[in-house]
This record gives sequence, C-alpha cells and structure tokens, in this order.
Amino acid sequence: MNKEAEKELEERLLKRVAKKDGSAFEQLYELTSKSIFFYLYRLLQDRETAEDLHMEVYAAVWKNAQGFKGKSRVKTWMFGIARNMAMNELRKHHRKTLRIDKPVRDENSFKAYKEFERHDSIQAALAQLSYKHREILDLVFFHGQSYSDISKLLAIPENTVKTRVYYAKAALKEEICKTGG
Amino acid sequence: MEQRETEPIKDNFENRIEQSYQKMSENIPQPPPDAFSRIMETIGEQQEKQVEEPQPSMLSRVMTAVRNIRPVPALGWSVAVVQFAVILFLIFQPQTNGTNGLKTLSIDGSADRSIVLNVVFEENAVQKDINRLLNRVEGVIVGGPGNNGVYLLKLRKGEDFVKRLNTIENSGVVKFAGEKY
Repeated sequence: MNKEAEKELEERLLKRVAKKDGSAFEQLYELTSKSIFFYLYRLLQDRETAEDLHMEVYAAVWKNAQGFKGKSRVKTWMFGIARNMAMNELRKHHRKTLRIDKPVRDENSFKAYKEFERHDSIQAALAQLSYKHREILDLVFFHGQSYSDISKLLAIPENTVKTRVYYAKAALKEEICKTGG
Repeated sequence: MEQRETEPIKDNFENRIEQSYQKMSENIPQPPPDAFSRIMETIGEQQEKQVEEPQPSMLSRVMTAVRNIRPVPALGWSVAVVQFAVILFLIFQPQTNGTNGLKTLSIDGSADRSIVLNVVFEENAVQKDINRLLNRVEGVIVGGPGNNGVYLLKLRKGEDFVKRLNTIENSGVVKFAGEKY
C-alpha cells in the first residue's frame, strides 16, 4: 500500500472510530500499532513502559478520535499522543534517575533487536545519539514521515526539522567513525 | 509532491541509513499479542468509571482549580501590585463637586427622596380601604405594627407630598399620621 492510500485509509478508519466503531478501531490498530509501539520503545528504551504507554495511546485515540482536526496525517497525530505521553514519562523518571538525552540501557529489552543493534554499525551508532537526534532520524528513515508532518509533530518550524536532520546525520557519522563502522 | 520539493535527494550515507532501518524493521520489537484485548478492557473500564462517577459540578470544579493553584511568589507580587494600583487610583482620581470624591446619600439628595411616617389606622379600617389609600398616595408599609399599633409608612417625597399627606389624614382609615424622626 502506498503512502497516500495508507493515509486515506487511516482517515477513513479514524472517522469510524470517532463513531465508536470497534472493528474500525481494530483495523486502525493493526495498521499502526507496530509503528507506534516502536516509536515509544525507541524514545523510552524500556519495554514495559512502552507497552503500558502503547495501551494508553490507543485508549486516548478511542476517546479523542472526534477531536482529530485533520491538520496532519492520522499517524502523525497518533505519534503526537505517544510523544506527549513518553515525554511525561521521561520527565517523571528524569527527576529520579534517568537522563533524557542519554537513556539508560534496558535489561529487559528484546534480545533479537538488541543483537541486531549491536551488530549493525549504524544502529550501534544511533543508540549513542541523543534522543532528539535518534528520534528525528527514526521519523524520517523508519516511519517515513515528511518534514512537514515532523514539523507538526514536534511543534517546530520545518526549517528546524531540516537543520535537526542535518545535525543528527552529522552526529551519526561521527559516532560511526568512533566505532570504526 | 510537496515532500519531494522540500526534501533533498538522498545521498549515499542516507541510503545506508535507510538500508539499516529496513534491516531493523525485520527485527523490531512487537507489541504484546494480547495488547489489543487489553486496550479494549482498559477502554471498557474507563467507560464504566465514567458512568459510575457523576461529572463534578461547576462549583466543585472551580473549587478544585482554586485548590490546585500553587503559591507562586510571582502571583503574590502581582496581586500586591494590583491592590497598590487600585489604592493609588482611589486616592488620586479626579475630585468632583468639592466633595473629595466621596459620595454620600446627602450629596445627590437620595436621602431626601422619601419620608417615613408613623401611622395608626382606625380600628374599623379594613384591608381593602387601606390598600386603596396606599395606592393613591404611592406609599408602602415598611414596618409595624408596633406596641401601639403604629405602622411605618414610606412615602415618596415630591411636589405633591403635602397633598398626599392630607389625603392620608382625611382618608377616614387613619387615626394618626406623623413624620418619624
């Protein structure tokens, strides 16, 4: 399915979700859950918290579907909900132990993924980036979000998105050089 | 279309990043298999809660909001500044009529606009006649009866005041009428 068709399908489903159509909600979940979960997981670097927030995001989507104004893609709107929740969670933990810019390693994370992360030089380097840089590269290269959508999601001007992508790539290059990849 | 115009053509490094993300997508952690049913459970619980818990009244919401106001030093200072400004305004506002800006009942004659009479009605006076008299003289009973059967009758003080007083005295239902001092 191409991006445009996917976007239209998401919108159609969300309209039905707004009318409390359970089957549409399930379809929307099937279509988006992996992305949303992975986005949360990458931000939080903690499986359990990502799972909890993943549920909360969908509960919020069900509850607030009527509030979607169509200013961005449905998935971007959902990323926005996920991001707000993740940031709140990180802030909570930040006061206690965590550092937002360099998330702590999670012992419970999935082994296969961690193995891959260790063996792929780019992923190993990505893991060393600040959350801001990692997030923007994830959004561009993994989630396929446009600069315009990212601008809405992060509430920053589109030019700042471009600049941030530029610096994120530079930081990534530097990390790769450090690790000799 | 817009995306193509605003986003640059991918270079070799970006292609490498993209390939790494593509490989990663085969290894990304998945949300738990029972996540959707748990989400639906959560939604169901939330809906039940909403039904059980009545919406708080406007008053209680206002009280909660007031209770939640944190004692911020800036807020305290702001209130003090506003109070000071009001005091200055009251002191230095333009004076009128040489009265130091203070307005009393005697200035505009408000106090003189009505007069209160002590009235004693005839023993055989009936309610109907008394009401008719009160309508004629535009008077209102504002107190009484006292120990001696004295009522307080409030009359508008106008040009025809004496005439109305005479009407009261000659009505046949009033034994006595005199100004209350």
